[in-house]
Amino acid sequence: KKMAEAPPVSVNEKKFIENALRKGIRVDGRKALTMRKLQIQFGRKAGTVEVSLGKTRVFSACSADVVKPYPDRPSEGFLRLFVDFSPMASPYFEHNRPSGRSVQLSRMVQRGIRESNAVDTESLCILSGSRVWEIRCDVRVLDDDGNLGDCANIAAVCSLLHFRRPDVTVVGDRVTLHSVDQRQPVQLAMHHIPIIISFGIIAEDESLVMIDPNRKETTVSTAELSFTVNKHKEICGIHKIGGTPLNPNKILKYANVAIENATAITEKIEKLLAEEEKSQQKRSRRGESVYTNPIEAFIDNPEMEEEKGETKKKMEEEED
Amino acid sequence: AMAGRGRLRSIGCERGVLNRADGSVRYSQGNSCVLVCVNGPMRVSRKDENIHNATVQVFVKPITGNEDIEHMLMSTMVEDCLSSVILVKMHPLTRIQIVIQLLDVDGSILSCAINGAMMGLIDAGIQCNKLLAAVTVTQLDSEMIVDPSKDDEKRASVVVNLAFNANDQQIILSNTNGLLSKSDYHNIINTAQKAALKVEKFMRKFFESTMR
Repeated sequence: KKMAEAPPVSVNEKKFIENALRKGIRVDGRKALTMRKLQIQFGRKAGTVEVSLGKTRVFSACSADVVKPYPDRPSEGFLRLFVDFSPMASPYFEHNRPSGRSVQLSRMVQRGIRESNAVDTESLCILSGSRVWEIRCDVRVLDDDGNLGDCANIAAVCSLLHFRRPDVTVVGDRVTLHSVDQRQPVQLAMHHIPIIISFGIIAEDESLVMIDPNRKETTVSTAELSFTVNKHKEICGIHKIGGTPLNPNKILKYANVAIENATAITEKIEKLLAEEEKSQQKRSRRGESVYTNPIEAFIDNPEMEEEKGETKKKMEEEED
Repeated sequence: AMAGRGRLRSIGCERGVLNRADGSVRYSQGNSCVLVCVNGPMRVSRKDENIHNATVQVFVKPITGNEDIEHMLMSTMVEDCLSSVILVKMHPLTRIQIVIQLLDVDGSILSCAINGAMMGLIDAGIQCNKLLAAVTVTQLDSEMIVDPSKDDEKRASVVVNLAFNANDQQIILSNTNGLLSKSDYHNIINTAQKAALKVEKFMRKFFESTMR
């Protein structure tokens, strides 16, 4: 691994990690195939969430905007996912200059969610050919203690599940967006929940495999293996890029381990979302605000909204 | 019309939030919340180095989207404020990096960011020659609101951000948006100074009680 991207680990520490793993335990006391503690904390604003996997911490937020669709896909909305490696997370991350590894991780998260069609982009259509929703999910890495891919993915997925977009009424060519005060905002339609599970492998002896490696364990591994899977036992992606060669049978074996863990994580996410839903209902019964408008422009002023509806209609007429 | 409010919203703080940072603080004023990470003194690139002083670098990261001009402006303002507070002469040829991640924006975000950054510096143990306390005040007709929420700021005719040296109440930052008379400005400063004292009191109390 490049010196510039990973902090050096001493030979003593490396040997210690390896020897411990040979006995089936990790330096922090975990077993080889035990993940770290996962904590998910939802924010006040719909779609904001902070996720931590052990000491690794990630923040994610969603926003929505109304745009024109691509002409060859008039009924499809957009899902944009960005993973930002903030200099907050590690002294090796430079502001707005992602390293090769950061780009790889961010693509892995993006592709796992977008290419597996986790979010139903056709449900994001407002007016075919002229107006669709563009949902943007920004994942920000806050603290790097290894396995950023898994953590960022969980944060993105939780953020999308927690997010509520404004409700829309379409009458002919006229589109009205309702502010959250007028109408309850709407959940995004998701087909499935992809989860990334990563392994670190010290390939001097191929049996040295650890799930959810922390920063030092990642530096010491000679190969990394990530699976994007869901609880329906579908594989959305397998990533093994460079590093020491692995036996394909071993890879499939770990795919099963990944699916087990992904299922457990999915259940935890669904449970926490249900609890969050309940406490949101309590808050709204007490008269406290539950959501804040994801689009700043569509708030408060109903006159502004009618105006916007008219401007939209004019724009459509001009386009015709 | 909204009743004027001379009181700060409730302030919350948690230190040592991040594991890799030299100093980190989660700071909130009402619903506005920021996560501040301070690293330094650390290595600086040739183009940023200064042979007399440490280079102070501030990055303000938005909740969603790419950095906007308003975030870059906030970064510059926080950077300029903190450069006069940190003892930069003690660490030449190094940099002090402050990253402010906005977690929730509900008004008074600039003063929230400055206060959070100040607390982050203390958590990181970076020597400063003054304690900075920032306050935002809005005015609508003749009613002043201290530490306004987002709705308060929208309704206001003028929004003033002030940062004071907590020791002698001198102004380090004064940034106004909107029209105001000299006497209004004077009144706003008086009100803000009183509020800044409360912010300073909170900071001292917090660090004294969380000394390891």
